[in-house]
Amino acid sequence: MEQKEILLQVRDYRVAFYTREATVYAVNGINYDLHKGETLGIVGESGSGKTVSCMSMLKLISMPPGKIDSGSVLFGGVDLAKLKRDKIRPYRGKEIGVIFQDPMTAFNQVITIGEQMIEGHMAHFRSSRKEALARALSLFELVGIPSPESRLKDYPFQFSGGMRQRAMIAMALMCDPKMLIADEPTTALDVTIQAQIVDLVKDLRKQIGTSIIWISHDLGVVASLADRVMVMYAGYIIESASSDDLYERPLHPYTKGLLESLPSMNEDASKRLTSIGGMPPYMNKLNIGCPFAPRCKHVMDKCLKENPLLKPISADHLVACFLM
Amino acid sequence: MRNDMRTLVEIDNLHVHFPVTQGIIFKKKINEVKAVDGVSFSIRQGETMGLVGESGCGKTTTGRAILRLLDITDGTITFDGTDISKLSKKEMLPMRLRMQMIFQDPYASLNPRQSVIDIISDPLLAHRLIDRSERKDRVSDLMSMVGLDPRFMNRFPHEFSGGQRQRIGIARSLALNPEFIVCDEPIAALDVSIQAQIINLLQDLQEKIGLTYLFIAHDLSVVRHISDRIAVMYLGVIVEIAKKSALFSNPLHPYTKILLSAVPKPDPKTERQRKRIMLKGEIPSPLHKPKGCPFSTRCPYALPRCKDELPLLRTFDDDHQVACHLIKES
Amino acid sequence: MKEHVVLHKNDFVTGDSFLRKALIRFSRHRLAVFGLIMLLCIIAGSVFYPMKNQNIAFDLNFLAISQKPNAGHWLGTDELGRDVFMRLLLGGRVSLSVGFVSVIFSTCIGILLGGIAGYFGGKTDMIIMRFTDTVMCFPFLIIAMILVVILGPSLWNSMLAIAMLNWTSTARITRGEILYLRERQFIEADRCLGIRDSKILFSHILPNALSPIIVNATFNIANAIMTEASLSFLGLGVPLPTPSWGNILQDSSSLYKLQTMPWIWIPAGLMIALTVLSINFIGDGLRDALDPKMNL
Repeated sequence: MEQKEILLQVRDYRVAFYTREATVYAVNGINYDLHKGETLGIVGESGSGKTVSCMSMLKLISMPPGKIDSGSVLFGGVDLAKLKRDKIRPYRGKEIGVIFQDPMTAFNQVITIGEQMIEGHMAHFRSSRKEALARALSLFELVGIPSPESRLKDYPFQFSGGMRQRAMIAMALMCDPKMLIADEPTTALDVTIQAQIVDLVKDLRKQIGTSIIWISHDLGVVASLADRVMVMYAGYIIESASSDDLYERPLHPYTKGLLESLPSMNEDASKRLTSIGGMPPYMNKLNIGCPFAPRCKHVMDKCLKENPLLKPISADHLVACFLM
Repeated sequence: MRNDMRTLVEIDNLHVHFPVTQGIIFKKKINEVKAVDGVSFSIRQGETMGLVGESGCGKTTTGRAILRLLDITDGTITFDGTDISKLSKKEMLPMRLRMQMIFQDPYASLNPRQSVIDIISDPLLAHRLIDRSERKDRVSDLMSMVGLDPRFMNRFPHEFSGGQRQRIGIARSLALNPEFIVCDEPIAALDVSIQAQIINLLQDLQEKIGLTYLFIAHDLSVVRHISDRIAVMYLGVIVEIAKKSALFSNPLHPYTKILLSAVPKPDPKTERQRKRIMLKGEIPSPLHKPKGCPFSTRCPYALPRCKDELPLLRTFDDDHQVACHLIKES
Repeated sequence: MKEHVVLHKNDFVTGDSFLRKALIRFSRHRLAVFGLIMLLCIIAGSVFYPMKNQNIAFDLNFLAISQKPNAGHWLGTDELGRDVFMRLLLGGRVSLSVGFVSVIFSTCIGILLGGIAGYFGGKTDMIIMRFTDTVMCFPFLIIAMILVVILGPSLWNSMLAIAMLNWTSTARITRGEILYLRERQFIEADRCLGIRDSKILFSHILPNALSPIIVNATFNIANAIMTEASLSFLGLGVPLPTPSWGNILQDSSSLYKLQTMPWIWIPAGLMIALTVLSINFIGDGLRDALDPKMNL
């Protein structure tokens, strides 16, 4: 990125869940910047902290048991991490739009989509019903929902999966947010519909220029969308690079392993897939060494004693590994 | 795979319709969902048949119907020479020893209140294949076979991770020593780094025991990796069946082409240059199926004929079957 | 393939047995433990205390009429000079046994009918559930009265009458749970493996449906204790002079007693409330304890 303006700056951000049974360390000190107009992909397996790290910024996780332990999230000069619950509301939807994974559960089933869309706009901008409806209509057109006027009066269950996700995107854009958080927005969709949505987002990005954080477990989807990709594992960022660089030259053994374990669509499939042995750790205690060490093929003594920090290898490629 | 291999499962003109009813006491049938609407294909012994399609295309229903977990409306299923489509529940019991299923969701497919040893040994005891004293030995054999530590057999499913649970499910379906296993999206609910482990396990087991798989999935890259032949389903019918090499190098049906082009590749450079064929709209409701070709409402190449006339599966060179009016015999 | 992994008993990695874990989970549930202690105290008191000197609960004693609580009579005496404390404990015997026994009966009936309806579905389901609805529509007391008139008033007959009419909620809950559970994948897996219907129903579905049934049963106990009281009041329950919490309460329903002799009815009401509360707490604790998914 050429010296673009920084929109979101996350520093030493830690989130943990404290329940009576156990403490789960979900996000363990992550640092990153999101630039204006940039699309940042966050990739990781379930439990890697990718969703928690983003949703907790807007306090969209249940707190308690969740708690932001330390760190700062600077957004337009304001530290979101330190804001009280009621002070965060203006940011939700207005400054930062959210697209959820499952549009079926994200909508209220007994209120028309149109009503749900204008609600936020009217609250944030004190706009009239008419203005808000006009905005909703233009967004429905933008996201390619056919016969938008009548569809605004429909209930969520009358939409198909793909259309519902389009409506969800339109709703997230209602207040013209500076930034969008998309939490696995295509995971619940079929491949052909997924391709439609990805195309739509690419188009929208060109037209509106919002920054996007795209959370996904699917390396394929992220590849086609993101400018920069961060790989998370056990609550740590273990690698961060421009997407071209990451897919071409993955450096962390985990990233390499993930890419190798995908069945290839290009060459004729070889007999066996290279798999990463073991499984992701359950983070009920903070590890001393590298979190990936128990599964790593190249593990050294040092890896067990010390947790590697995220260090730049080249200008825009950061890796947390002692091998580098 | 040689073509002269013995056919193990033959599905002929399979229909599975679900009635849509109205009223509580006197249920009146007002419509029906034709989830599977005339599907025919065969599975050869020792091969892996991939069955792909989007949600709602009837692939899972087909898999369940083959195992007689659902009532079949019409058609026959022949398993190793026996027509099992009309067998009663009781007559089906000995067949259950030979055909099994691996389920999609390793969290929902294991009884949370049973320990692993009970889960795996229940089918063995139900069919009186072992008595209680042999239980531990059999279960520990099965557990080591799928790469689980037998010392954990007294634990409960929630004490295992997703991948391990799927291994428990696999051990359970192997307990009866079946020849044929329907794998219903066995890796869709697993983490990326675990998926490869399970695929490798399934392939190892196939090699070791000589299993035959029907592998149901929506993920084309996985199906491509594991299958010998692949059938593509759309809205209750099969639109194309071919060997995997033929299907991927030379897809004939427009839907197959579009499906292949929709798969995102983990490579940003090719992704940027790739010209996708975009599919308009979404899969129609099976309640209101188009009259002709089911794909005609979304097909970019549809002819007037496609809207009226249902294309049948026709065989082209070397085992490649397509149901499309546009394809001319070579 | 045939190489057995030889396992010794101490090789198993099990932690604790299921029962032990359940016990630990139960003991962590403070309210449940409190409820259990409370209930045990009430039961022990009712069973053991009246073993001797029982007659002070029955004998008229005109020298000690309507006494306030004092050293001789801990909870005072009633208008016939009978010891209220003794009557309360004796009443506990009746009320608790009516509560527990009738609920055991009604829960069994409910599970059986609800289980069959839910598992087999279709016509069977329709017939059983319409029957259940019909029973629910019956005016409860009138039917109970008819039953007791036919059978004659006694402790056992009131238990029976209560059980015959109290199973409907259990049946409905069981059916609902089973309708949900039988579509679960692990039940489909059982069917696929060729396991018998009865085994699937009783050893795979029911244990998973047990928690709401247990909780419901605790409410039913409370219900049964109250119903017994109404029946006693109508002279159709436990015949006087045998005390039960219900007939003690009903006996003091005159305004005069309510205003001037609170030591007669407050303890009985308190006992019913305490018992019901304790049982509810226990039910709550059991639900958590029996769920293997709950962490220790």
